[in-house]
Amino acid sequence: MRVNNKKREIGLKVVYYGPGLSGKTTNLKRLHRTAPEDNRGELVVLDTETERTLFFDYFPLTLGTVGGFRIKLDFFTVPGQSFYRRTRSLVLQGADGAVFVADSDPRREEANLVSLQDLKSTLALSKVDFDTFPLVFQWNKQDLPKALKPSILQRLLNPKGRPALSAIAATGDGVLETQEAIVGLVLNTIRQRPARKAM
Amino acid sequence: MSGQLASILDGLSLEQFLDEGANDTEQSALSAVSMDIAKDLVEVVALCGSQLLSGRDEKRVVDQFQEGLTSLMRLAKASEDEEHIAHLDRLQEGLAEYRKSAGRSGPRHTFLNLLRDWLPEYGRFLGGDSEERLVEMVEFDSDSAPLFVELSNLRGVGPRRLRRLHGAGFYQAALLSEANPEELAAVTGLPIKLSHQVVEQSKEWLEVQRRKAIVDMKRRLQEFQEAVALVRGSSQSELQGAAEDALLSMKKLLQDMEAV
Repeated sequence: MRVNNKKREIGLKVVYYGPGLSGKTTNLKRLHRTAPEDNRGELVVLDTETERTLFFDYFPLTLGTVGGFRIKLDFFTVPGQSFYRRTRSLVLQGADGAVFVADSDPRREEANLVSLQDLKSTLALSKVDFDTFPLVFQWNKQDLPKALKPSILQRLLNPKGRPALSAIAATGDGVLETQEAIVGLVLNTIRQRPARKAM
Repeated sequence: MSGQLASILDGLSLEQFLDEGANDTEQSALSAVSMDIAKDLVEVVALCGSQLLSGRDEKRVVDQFQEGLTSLMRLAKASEDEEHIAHLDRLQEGLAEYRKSAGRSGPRHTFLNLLRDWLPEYGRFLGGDSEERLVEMVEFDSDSAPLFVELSNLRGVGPRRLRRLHGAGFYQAALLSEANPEELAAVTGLPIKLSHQVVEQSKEWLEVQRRKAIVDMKRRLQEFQEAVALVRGSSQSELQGAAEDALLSMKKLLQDMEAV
């Protein structure tokens, strides 16, 4: 969480994580398109010549105000390809929550598992406990003819039963619902924290 | 915002947001991430810079340099960091002039002088250990640079594809050798067969470097052992102890290198 006392602003960071081509950027583009113009900032997409995410995608969204401070959400994606580990770790630093965008294509089963393990180890590097870190799963590409069922994905990737939603990010199905689930989880985590004195 | 989120937000107080982990900062999240990545990416620029300064100003190196600068500029512009943009603009202008000059010595010297001054300044701007790293990279050629020369010998890997590899962040041999060939092909547009070859070549290259390092280490160890034998007869016990410790740690290092 970032607090800017001068601008009276609090920033919450939400990162969309997952294997390459699972639909993280598509999620963000959809969210940006549907967000109210007055509340959203510009969408930044930093991709390669071949349109894969090279660094990250980003857009800010104002949620409301609390105690005279503007609550801003900073949405990021990470590059999914396995070799961009270092960039992922830099983007994930200081995140308040994450969405794991899993690819329902059965051929990407291993890629999902590798990426989830990567998320766990990247969090561990920053001394963040995976089990208590606010995380929502999204089973994307459910429209594929041979898509893995949510119940299978749930067993494979989410045995502890954390919040999970089915989605078809390309058409927008489930995208907003996923966003609301993660933002709700982040806010509830903050609510459960013991409060300290205001600055 | 949905009614549910609005009601959660309404139920929160400012105190609940301000936990121990909240940093008071004027830097935006976007700018913070961009700067962190720039600190990482700057090695691409410094690597090419070191090659240019050491006399390798062939087109491929200049193109790679341009590519790295362009990536840094994208990050700086994304976070609308005017100071960062100004730093990069200064070098890009110098590079453009140099490229127009078709290798004439006057503009080349002007550009190399600019580069020599710019790298540490840029490192200072980025903060942390960047300045030290940049200065070090300008002074010493990177171990990974010769890999690109080796890859250019592969049939089908020309300057354009090397630029793509470099532009996609594959500027370290270790990164290339660990890459999944399918993903590498997807990111760089290399044909899958060639992508496999690039990964294999990088692995082989690293293995050769490791073996060369072992041979070198063995030679140095031999020299050091001879020096320690001379010290053994010395009356200075502190010196003798330090030499024996150094010898032990070198032997251990050699064992580790051989075990990989």
